[in-house]
Amino acid sequence: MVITDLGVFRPAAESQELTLVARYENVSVDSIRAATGWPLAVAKQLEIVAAPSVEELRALRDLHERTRLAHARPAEKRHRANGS
Amino acid sequence: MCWHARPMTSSCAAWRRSHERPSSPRPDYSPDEMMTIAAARLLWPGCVCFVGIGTPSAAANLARLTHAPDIVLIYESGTIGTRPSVLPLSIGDGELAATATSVVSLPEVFSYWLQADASNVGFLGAAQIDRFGNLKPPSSATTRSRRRACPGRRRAGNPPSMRSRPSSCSSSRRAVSCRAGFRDQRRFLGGHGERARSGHARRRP
Repeated sequence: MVITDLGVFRPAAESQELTLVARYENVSVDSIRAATGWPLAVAKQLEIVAAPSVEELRALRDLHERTRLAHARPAEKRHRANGS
Repeated sequence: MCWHARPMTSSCAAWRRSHERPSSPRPDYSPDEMMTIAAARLLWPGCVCFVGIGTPSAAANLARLTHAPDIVLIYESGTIGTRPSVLPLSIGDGELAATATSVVSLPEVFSYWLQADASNVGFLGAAQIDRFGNLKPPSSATTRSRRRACPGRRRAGNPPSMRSRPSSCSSSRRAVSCRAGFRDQRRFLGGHGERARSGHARRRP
């Protein structure tokens, strides 16, 4: 399975070529075709991946913010804060 | 942090121009965030996930922080069951070992965990992927200067052989291309059963 910032791909059973099986809510199939370097096959039943929920976005952004703050500190202080 | 506060790269701006519907409200998430969250949703509670650095690490830890608190994360450095509070800079980041259930040697993690198929999912990032899933891992290399590729990519041939292996990469004609610059991580080679005929796979890939 391949996950990109436009959709989700799976290999086809016979040819093993990556096939679009899901697109994100605000992304069109045409735009995915335009960003793909081969004639893209699309699954008959294309799923639509829902946009991120508020909780998911908050958890992800908090994680990135904690990471940014931790990595901005000198390594010695970071390890001391971790208790290691 | 909202979409507007994020530093906007040229690829982000291009994505917005091509995907935003003029009549709809401006989306408050970026394509990278959508990709990370979509990847996190694919991981399930209790799964054992071999994690790569970067987007896979963010997605796996997001899954742990949201719907899969008991997910077992294994990093290449031999840290098993790690629960980092921040994302690691690399597999050698002390945060991974400090928060791990167990730390084992490199030979053990590769021989007895990865190659023994003890994990359910191998989750890697990719700089480039071709139509048959052959990967070029994230690196600073170009096809003319392979020596600049990131360390570790030679060892990454194992996760693509696993049964379930999500990969994540940003979409562009160069990233999702007819043929990757070079096949560092072989998946289906040329498709149509070439991998099975070549003897690369002991099991169904």
